[in-house]
Amino acid sequence: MAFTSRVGDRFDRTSASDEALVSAYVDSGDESAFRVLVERHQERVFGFLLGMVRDRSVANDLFQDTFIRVIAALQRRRGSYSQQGRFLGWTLRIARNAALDYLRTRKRWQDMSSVNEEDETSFWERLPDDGLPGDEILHQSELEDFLRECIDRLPPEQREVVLLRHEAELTFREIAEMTDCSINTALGRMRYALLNLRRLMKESTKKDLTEVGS
Amino acid sequence: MNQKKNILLHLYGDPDAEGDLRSLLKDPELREEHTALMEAKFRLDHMHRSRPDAALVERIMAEAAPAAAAIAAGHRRGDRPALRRFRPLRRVLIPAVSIAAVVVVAVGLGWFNILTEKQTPESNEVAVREDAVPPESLLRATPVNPDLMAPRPASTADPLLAWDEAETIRDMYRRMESMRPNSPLDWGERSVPLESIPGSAAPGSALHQAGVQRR
Repeated sequence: MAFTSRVGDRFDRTSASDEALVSAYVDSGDESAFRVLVERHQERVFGFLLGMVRDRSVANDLFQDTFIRVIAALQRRRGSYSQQGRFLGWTLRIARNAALDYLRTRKRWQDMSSVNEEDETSFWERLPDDGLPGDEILHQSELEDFLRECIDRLPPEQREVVLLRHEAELTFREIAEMTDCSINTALGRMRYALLNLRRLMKESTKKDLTEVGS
Repeated sequence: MNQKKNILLHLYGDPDAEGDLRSLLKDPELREEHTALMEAKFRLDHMHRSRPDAALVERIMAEAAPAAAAIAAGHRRGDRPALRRFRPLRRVLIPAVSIAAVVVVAVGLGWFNILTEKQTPESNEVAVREDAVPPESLLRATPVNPDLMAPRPASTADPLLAWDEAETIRDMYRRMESMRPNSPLDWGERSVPLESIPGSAAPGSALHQAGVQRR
């Protein structure tokens, strides 16, 4: 009440900072402010979750679970949200924990995390050697699906950095902080991820062209 | 940080990037690295963003609404009255005991002062009475003025004034003057045998005999 009465109807939620919206929701019970926060960051959070779990329905569940946890934490007078102006990073951390919990139950994260990221060939030697059909590659939307499949095949640490950088739009410093590693490690993971993606795409294209030619 | 990671930072426009990208790309190996990374990044940059189901946001807002209402209701209730501050017993006892101790000491000192003020005239009077008989009078068996020996009435018992009586002083002075020519001794002189003093030890007296035996 105090917040809305102070700023009245002039409070422009769409241009307000994350921190102002959090304050409006926590201090004044401004439900619309929280809606703006969800809509502002839904693509970043959902894109990250989808890339992590590779299942849209699961990603939907985790997305909802993440924001319900956010509401519960904010209801406890901000709860664990103590980092001013870093709402997205805080929310992504909750989303990451939810995704990791899910993956642990499915034993998918541990199965792949034994790969040595410095040894590129060790992972790629284990990849299934099935090239995608040429008509799928040529199609733009399917090319994107192909790219997503390539991302899915990356080692977990590399995939996570790619998702946090390209889906959640975090800086490398924020990624390093979130994943509890040094910025050099985060950069190394990103470099190997990009090189591996490029190699996979080229090999698949080459294989497909070879099959078409024969 | 090696140059390859620096190339990556330049590629993403990161503020932590060091040096100039053009100078880095003069190295063929780094140029090749830059091309490879840029190619993969280009594909990633042009991926479509995924959105959750539209109904999800409404479900989340349905969860957020009661919380917002609770917060708003909390504000409508207004400020609660101030809570009575809990004071631990120790924080009350220490000042109270301190104040009580100060009061007891103050009362005690006051009582002691009253008592000493009452006792002082009597003790002074006793001291004066003890000093009322001069020692010279005892040695010389001089009759003492009976007025000095008699207890003074309380109303006139000022010890200082008693010594200021001119007659007593004059009496003492006369006695001292009468003693001076008769005695060859004086303070600070060398000690001499008693029998050498004329008139003090006549031959045959007990004092004279004691001196002879001593030799």
